Amino acid sequence: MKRQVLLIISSDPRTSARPAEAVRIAAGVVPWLEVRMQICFCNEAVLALDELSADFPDGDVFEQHLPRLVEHELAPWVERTSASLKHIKNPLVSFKEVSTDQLAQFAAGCDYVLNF
Amino acid sequence: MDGKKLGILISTSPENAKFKHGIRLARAAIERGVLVYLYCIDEAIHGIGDPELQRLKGEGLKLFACAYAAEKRRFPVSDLAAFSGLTIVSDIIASTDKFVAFN
Repeated sequence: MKRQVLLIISSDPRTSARPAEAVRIAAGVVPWLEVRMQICFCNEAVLALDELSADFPDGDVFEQHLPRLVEHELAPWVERTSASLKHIKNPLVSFKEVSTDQLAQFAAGCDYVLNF
Repeated sequence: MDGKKLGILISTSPENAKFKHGIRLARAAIERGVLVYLYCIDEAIHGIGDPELQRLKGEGLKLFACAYAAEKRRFPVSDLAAFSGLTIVSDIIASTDKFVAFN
């Protein structure tokens, strides 16, 4: 059975390149079909989903790789309580809102949870 | 623990305490007969020459470094580690008994 990994991205993409690196890692792992991966953006990291993220550190990664992840049926999740969610005006890709409870339940069933 | 495999991903810079934690975990696992695969990505690329890390490599640690991270930072490719892509990360997650990331 394939390992299930949850990538929780919560760093602020406006000041940190870590969210971009997390998306790049997911984009580099998922196509090999050895591991099932789910990304969830939380807090300020949600801003990475807006087209304005092109101006963030390594922001070109979001525009380049998020659509590819969606092509692999990996639509990103966004934690519903993220305050930055209301600032998403022009999303790069469609995403799914999840509650904190849903995220916790999913995390509990994963083999690994990685935080960025 | 002989024959067990541990995968470790480190993305923090060598100045970050988590980098050292990752190395200490690798050390502890190797001392118990575990096969350890350690992948340095992002800022951790700057730490592949760490003396303790290289000592562990000499004791059997499988040390990998992200080729993209090296290129992005103009970090020279060398025999300090096996420079590779993210397919190795996929392999490590999929084929080790346990996987830990220090981010």
